[in-house]
Amino acid sequence: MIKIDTKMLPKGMQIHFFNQKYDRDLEVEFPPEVWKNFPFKEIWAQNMAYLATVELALMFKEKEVKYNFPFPLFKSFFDELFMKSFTYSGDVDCEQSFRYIKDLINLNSQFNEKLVPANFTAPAVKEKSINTLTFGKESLLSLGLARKSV
Amino acid sequence: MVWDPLPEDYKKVIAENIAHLSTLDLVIMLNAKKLSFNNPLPLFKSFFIEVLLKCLLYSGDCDTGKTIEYITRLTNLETEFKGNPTALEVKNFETKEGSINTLTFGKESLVCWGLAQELNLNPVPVTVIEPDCDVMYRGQRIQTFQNKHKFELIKKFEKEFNQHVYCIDSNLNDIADYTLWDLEYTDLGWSGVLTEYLFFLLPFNFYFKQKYIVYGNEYSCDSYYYNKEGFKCHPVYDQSSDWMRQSNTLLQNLTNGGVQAISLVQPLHEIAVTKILYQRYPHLAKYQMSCHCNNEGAKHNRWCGGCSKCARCFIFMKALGFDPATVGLREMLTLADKNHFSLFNQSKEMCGFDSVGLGREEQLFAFHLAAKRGVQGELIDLFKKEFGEEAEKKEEELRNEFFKVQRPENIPTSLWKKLKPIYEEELKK
Repeated sequence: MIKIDTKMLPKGMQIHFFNQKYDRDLEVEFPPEVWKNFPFKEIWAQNMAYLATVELALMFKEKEVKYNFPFPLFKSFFDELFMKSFTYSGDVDCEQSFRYIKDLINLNSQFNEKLVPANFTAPAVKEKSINTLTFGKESLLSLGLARKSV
Repeated sequence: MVWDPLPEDYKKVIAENIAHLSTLDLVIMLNAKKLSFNNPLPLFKSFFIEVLLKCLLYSGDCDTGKTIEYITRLTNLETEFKGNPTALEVKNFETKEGSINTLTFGKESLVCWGLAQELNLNPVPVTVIEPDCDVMYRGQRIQTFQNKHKFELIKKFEKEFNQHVYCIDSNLNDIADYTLWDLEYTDLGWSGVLTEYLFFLLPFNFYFKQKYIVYGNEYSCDSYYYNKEGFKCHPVYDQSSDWMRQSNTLLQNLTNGGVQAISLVQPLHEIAVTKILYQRYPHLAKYQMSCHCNNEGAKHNRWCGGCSKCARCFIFMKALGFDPATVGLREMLTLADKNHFSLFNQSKEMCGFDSVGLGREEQLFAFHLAAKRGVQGELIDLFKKEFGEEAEKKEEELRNEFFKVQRPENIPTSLWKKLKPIYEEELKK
């Protein structure tokens, strides 16, 4: 069994991963001024922790994962993404497209019972963009285009 | 009255999502490569893909034993939508501690009704009316007779309790009815039904300002088995506590936590639900209609008396000392009825759990209790001969399992505090 715990940090979040072999902390840090004003910290952390660890559970051939947080609000969205991605991964790894889909379906994920009430109020946004900048040609071109369209 | 006050953007979102949800099974049945909608990508598409995936595992296993064929159809499907996603201004549904109850007249829905009243949830009963079927399918006439009986029960119920029963008319189930498309028999076609109901009931929560949607999903809805290909197969995944949890995240996204789906009988096995219904709510028990009414036997009676569902309910009543004749269910303990009981026989013609043997232990326990009570009949004699010793040895274990109050899932603590003593009081009698 794998245990996944999340903890909120002043500048982001920590995911604690624990199974028979490993006991590791993984962290995400933001610029403090960005994180401080973000209204959905807990929901973000829970969904991120699920999204970031499912493949790990399958890589370790685990049957059960226990999370210390409630059912993530966007689990179905992530599971659809996994389903679509795993056909390729299974094909590349062992020519069995459904191998990982089966592992995902059979994986027993346990969450804390209570859902965290989320009050989604749409943030007041303007017609502007946040760009992923990897310095790859596409991201550089996107940055150029985004600046131009402003 | 109920639909009109719902904000326009909610109406649109409900329509778009139902359109997607109700057509997915058909796409798999037809082995279609592309699905094109004239509306935008629905907000909850991923939820529907997930429920379909989990349900088609069992359907594939039932139909051909080859689950992978259906998964391939799903993963290869291309879907096309038009326009930008509908902007939804999520409302805080200002609800109070009350419930909208699905009333099907099945034993679970009746117990939920009784419990919701005791819990002061001022339940509003809603039932979905789907047209009965009358078609010629490959030379055979297929008929169902549910509505005639349901309408009679609604009328009596309304009169006795001075309580209006709200009806939703829907023929969406026709979309994925293999008989209407002249396709081979398939178990596909049901994956979205309970989730459709969630969208159907939401306008009632908004109108009556009731917090809960109450389903009658019992503990055995969580049952599953692994098929030959190694996939976990749930006969009724959309009724499982796992899917209800998912449904609640959907509702959370849609209502800011104002509406929640629950089942008040989730911690109970079917035989325990029967016990509570006939002991605590005899005034409701007389309305029980659990049969699918899909053969000639149900033309004039709400129990066909010739299916595995009737058989299961029959032996539960006998086990607990209640007379099936009071609800119009005929005697079913002759050797001619043997094939309707999954304890003696399992076949594809049976309903859900019975077809794969998941209800076997509960039926073993029910026959044992009936025999101990002195119930007579050819099948009781056969039971004693074939399974009497096994049941005697396992009696304690079976009692502990089937009359046990299981761990509650998706039930708020405030309700659980009141529910648990009711269960315990009834189950120890």
